[in-house]
Amino acid sequence: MSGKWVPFDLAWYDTRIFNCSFCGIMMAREYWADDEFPGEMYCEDRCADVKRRVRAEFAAAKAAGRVEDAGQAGETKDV
Amino acid sequence: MYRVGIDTGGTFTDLVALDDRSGRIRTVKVPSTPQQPAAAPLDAIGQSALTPDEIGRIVLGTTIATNARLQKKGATVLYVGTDGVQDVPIIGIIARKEAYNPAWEKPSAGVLRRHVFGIKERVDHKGNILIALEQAELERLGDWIADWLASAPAEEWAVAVNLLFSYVDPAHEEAIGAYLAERFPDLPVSLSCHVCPIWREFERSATVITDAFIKRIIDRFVGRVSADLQTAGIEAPLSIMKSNGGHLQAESAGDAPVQLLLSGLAGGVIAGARFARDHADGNGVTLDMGGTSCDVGLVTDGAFGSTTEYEVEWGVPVSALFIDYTTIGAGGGSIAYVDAGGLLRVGPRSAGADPGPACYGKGGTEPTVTDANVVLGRLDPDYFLGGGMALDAASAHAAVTGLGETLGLTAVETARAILETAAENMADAIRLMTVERGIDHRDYALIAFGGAGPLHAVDVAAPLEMKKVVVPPHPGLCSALGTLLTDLRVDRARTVNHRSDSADLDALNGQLRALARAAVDELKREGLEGEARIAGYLSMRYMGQNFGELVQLEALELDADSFARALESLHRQHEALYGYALRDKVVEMTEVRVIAVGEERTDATLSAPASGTGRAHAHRAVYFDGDAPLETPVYRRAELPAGSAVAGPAIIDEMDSTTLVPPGSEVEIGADGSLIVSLPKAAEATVGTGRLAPEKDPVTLTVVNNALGNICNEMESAMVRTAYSPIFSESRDFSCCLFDRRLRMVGQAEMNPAIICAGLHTVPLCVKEMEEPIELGDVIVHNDPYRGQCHMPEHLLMKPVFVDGTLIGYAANIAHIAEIGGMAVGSFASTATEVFQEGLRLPPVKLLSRGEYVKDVWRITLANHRTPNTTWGDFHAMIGSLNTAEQRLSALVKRLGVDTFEKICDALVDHAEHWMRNEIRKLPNGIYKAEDYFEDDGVTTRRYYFRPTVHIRDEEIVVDLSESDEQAQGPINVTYVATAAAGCTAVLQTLCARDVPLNSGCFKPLRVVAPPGTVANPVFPAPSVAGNTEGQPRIIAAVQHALSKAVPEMVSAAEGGTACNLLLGGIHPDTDEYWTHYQLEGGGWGGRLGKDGNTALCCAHASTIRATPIEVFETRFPLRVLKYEIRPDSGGAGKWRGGLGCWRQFEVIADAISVSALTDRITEGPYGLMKGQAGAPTGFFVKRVEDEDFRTFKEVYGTVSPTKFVNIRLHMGDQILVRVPGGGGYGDPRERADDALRADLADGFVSLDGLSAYGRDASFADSAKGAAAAE
Repeated sequence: MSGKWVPFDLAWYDTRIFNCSFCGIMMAREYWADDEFPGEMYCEDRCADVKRRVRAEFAAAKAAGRVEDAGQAGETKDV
Repeated sequence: MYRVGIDTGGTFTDLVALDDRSGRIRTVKVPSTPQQPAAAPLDAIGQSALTPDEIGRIVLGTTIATNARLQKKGATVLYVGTDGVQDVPIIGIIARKEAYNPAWEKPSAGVLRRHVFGIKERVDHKGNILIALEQAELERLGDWIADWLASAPAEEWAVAVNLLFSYVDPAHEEAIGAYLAERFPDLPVSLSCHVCPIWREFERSATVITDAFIKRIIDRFVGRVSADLQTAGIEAPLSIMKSNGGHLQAESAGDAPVQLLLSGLAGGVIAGARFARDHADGNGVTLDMGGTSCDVGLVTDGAFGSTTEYEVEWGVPVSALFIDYTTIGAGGGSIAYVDAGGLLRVGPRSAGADPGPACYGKGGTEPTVTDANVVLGRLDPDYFLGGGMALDAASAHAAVTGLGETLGLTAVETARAILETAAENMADAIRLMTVERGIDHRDYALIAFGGAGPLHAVDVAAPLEMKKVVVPPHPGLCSALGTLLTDLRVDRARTVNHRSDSADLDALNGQLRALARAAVDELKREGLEGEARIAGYLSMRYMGQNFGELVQLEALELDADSFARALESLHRQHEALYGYALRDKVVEMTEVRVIAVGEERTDATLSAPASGTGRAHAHRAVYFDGDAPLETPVYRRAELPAGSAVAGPAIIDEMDSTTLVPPGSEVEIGADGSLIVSLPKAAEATVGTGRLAPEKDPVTLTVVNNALGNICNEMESAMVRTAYSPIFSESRDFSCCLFDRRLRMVGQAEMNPAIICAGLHTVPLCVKEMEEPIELGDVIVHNDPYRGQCHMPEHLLMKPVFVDGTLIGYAANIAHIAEIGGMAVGSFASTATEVFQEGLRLPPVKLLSRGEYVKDVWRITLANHRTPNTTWGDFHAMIGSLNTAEQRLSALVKRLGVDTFEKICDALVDHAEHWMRNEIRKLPNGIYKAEDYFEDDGVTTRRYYFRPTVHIRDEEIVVDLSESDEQAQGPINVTYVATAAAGCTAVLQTLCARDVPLNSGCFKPLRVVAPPGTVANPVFPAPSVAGNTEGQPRIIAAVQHALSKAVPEMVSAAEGGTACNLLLGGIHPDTDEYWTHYQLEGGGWGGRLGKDGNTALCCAHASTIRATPIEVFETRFPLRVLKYEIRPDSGGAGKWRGGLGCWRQFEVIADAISVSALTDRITEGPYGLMKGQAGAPTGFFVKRVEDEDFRTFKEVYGTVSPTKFVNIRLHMGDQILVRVPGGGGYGDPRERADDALRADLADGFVSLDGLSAYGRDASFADSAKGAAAAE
């Protein structure tokens, strides 16, 4: 994991808010720019790590048919 | 002659006989006789050696009513309510106790639905009779009752009557009472207009049901005691203690048994008042500690406090006048254990009397408070109960040592930790009780009694900085003594409606006089011979608030001057309690109350032994603070003469109690024999084992953790009592929390899960984002959904807390402001396509700066809200709550020190994280997914899907909603914090988590992923007002559906999942002022393995939400409720049935109102699990005056969505029907037990038509009737 903390450059009258590119949480003052995901803004370096892990695990589980899918609610089917 | 006071409790019956002439007393203690409760009092009298003609009066306090209600052993109650709303006691308040426990069972108000009758009559809030009560209706009721009586002649029946607005006009209830008395002369009937003429129909129903429930028991008990006394030749009159601290003649006991509910608990506080007068200038906190629990009462200026709020169990209130006290689960038998996060807990679970503490030698193995006292040498195993019961010290050591191994402490350290934790729990109860009432406990003495009180008193008093402990003579008999120190007393109250700007003092004085007359008449019936003392009170509140403060009047006749002074008293009381007053606001008077007292008591003359050696009779090793025991002198109390003094360390033993005097303390023996212990300055601030650093000390951590939780509870109380809009005071849609200066949430009341996560994220963001420095006295506000609010109506107010100029943290509350402008009345813009339509959006700005109003912000805000007066009041309620938190948190941190507090916060956050990781380990690793959807977004008719994938790996969970649909055009989008809250709530509820340590650490192992731009995290300027209320439950249901693949035995079928949000508003015809209201409903919960779903409860994410009472609804707004009933067959069929929803139908009684709405699941009900069927779906319907039938709003007004629309104009006579959904069923309905299905049929939860879903036909119904007849 490598990257850097980057401050938001906003005027006092600029009321925009930014969200983490992965988890979606709101961020103030600064964000983590991860070298592996250029152009994206992360709330913390650990969030980029979680993204890597979760995506990889999901892909592997899906490939192996190990994602347990309860399906759509409302179908009142036997789980 | 002797006056005899008897206190008969569950274990012992105590007698104190007082000689009228000399004031001397004699005492007796005998075992109680639960199988024949009336026998023990007579046995005690027999053992007192008094002759019948020596006894002048007997006053009896009894727990028989308390125990009957708690153990649910009373009459079978038939309940009569106004037709259409007769299900009020079944539906209840729709709130629940444990936010994260879906297995929690809704308490019963004490009546089965099959025993509920709706009688055709109706009175409105002004007393107008809308439907007269006809004779034929009385006869129909009589026939219904006759059928029940005939169906089970051996059953003990009673009737409770509670009609809408009976407190305004009691005529219909009185007509029912007269009719039933004539037709069923032996049938007990309780009328709400007599038992509790107050508003709020559910509270009244629960009270009148309790009254009917215990009526026969009280009658029988009192009758038996009276008869036995007569047989024994005792002619002295018998009186029974009332819960309010007075007493009444035995013959009157059956008139209002609910007044005797806490008869057995009042005596202790009254006795405490006497010793507070004698030894503490009238100011004392009473501590009555027994084997299971500890009762804490307050005495101020020699008088005990009173309250009308008491719950027999959570959610089942009784409205009568009670001595103001609180009970906590801290007694000698309280069990000590280590929770999942490693913190030491003591109580409320108790070993009881059997098996009792380990040292009882009856098989108990868990360590208790009593065991800890044995280990420390504080209790003499050979002199327990005066030597009447030998204790097994070895078993006590073994139990405590076992716990110590878990904690890494020695047996002595563990025992000390147990006692300090128990003491701190009691100190917290005292702190909460005194602070809530604006009292500084440091100016009070602790009056300690009960078997265990004197042993723990100094440990309780020290952290509270109380300076004196008083241990009365015969501490185990104080309750019996208290029964002798009482007066004849009657309290009468009635609801009224006056305003300060148009007060009719003649009418008010007339109401006070009428009440006073009635009270004096009752006193005379109870035996008053002389004059009565009468005090008048007014319950007053600022116009718009829903709870008042009781203000004592100078006289019963008010003139303009004394009325003005009464108003000023309210302002001062409000200021003292909440930190502000609103002197320019109209004051509303809602209740008049009188207390009439007839002097009856005789003061007991108590005295210490005239002689005695004053010397210790033995020495033993006792552990106090140090590592080594101190050789401590042991005194017999009977050997300590008046005027003598003993320096600590010392132990003072007597038959029924032991007093601990630690080193540095000194005890003086008063003339009356009281032990007066002076606390040393050095003892005041000691908390913890002393061996460990505070942040590692289990006692200190528990103490601070509890204190932080209590501060949040106090914040909650201040909010509820001072709020203007019912969404605060009735529906409780808010939460309160505390942060440390590192912006970690360190405390939160277990309130609304929907809001809990909002605070977690938005307070840190808000502080980081503020441009200006945050200073002492500042209050910051914001409601920006993109900055961490669940939706626009929810406003964060936060205040920094400083100690000696150093920032130590923040207090914050987040609450739903009922009206914030925007396109829809009530600010629920269900068809908005941009945030700008949803109301006024405030980024973080200061509302107060250094304690001064930032007037520009207030003016901008109030100018954009439709009901600025309500916003003004609600913002002040929130500010008052923050003031409370500021005072309490700074006092706590001053006591601990800033650095120590921070280290303790580190430890508490770590503990919570550890706790959560342990909980997550209960779930199997894997990746699970599911999906659920909105049926439309109010703007388009397409579905929007939430698709959570739940990754569980060891002790961490990621709930990933990345595959959810893109953000919607309409306002169903769920903001980030609402999605995060839903993810956390879903996991915690799957774990059935209880006692969740609500701080930042708890949420660390849970990560919720909601990429911006999705329906689970919209970006500016997407609307989101509906996402919080409807999206959260949908995400929770989807996550739990996914988890059903992992742990089907731990999740429920889907709950109703909607509050059926209705927003109503317009110009009120009575005031010409704008009004708005947010109406919420409770649906059915899903069935789960082994349990049916609860009926009519708030959604999973909104546990504190309550329904607005009909009487509040109709008094405040121009609407009339026609129907509020359980909805049969709405619970999904299953082996464990889904809970039921309701019907609510109401009528407009203004020229015009505006209606907006939001709900979902209208075509497909909440899903079932494991072959269970779906619950019934939801819906809104309208019937205009000119229409014959109800139709959907889409059909009538052409809205895009039938359930998401804004600003529909309805007119006088138009009606709305709300169909509240049921929960899904769990398991194959064909496997539902016959008995359960029979009960469903009897209660109307399942209809004959509904039987087919269970694989049964009409023959089952016939067999059910047969079975019922056979029963």
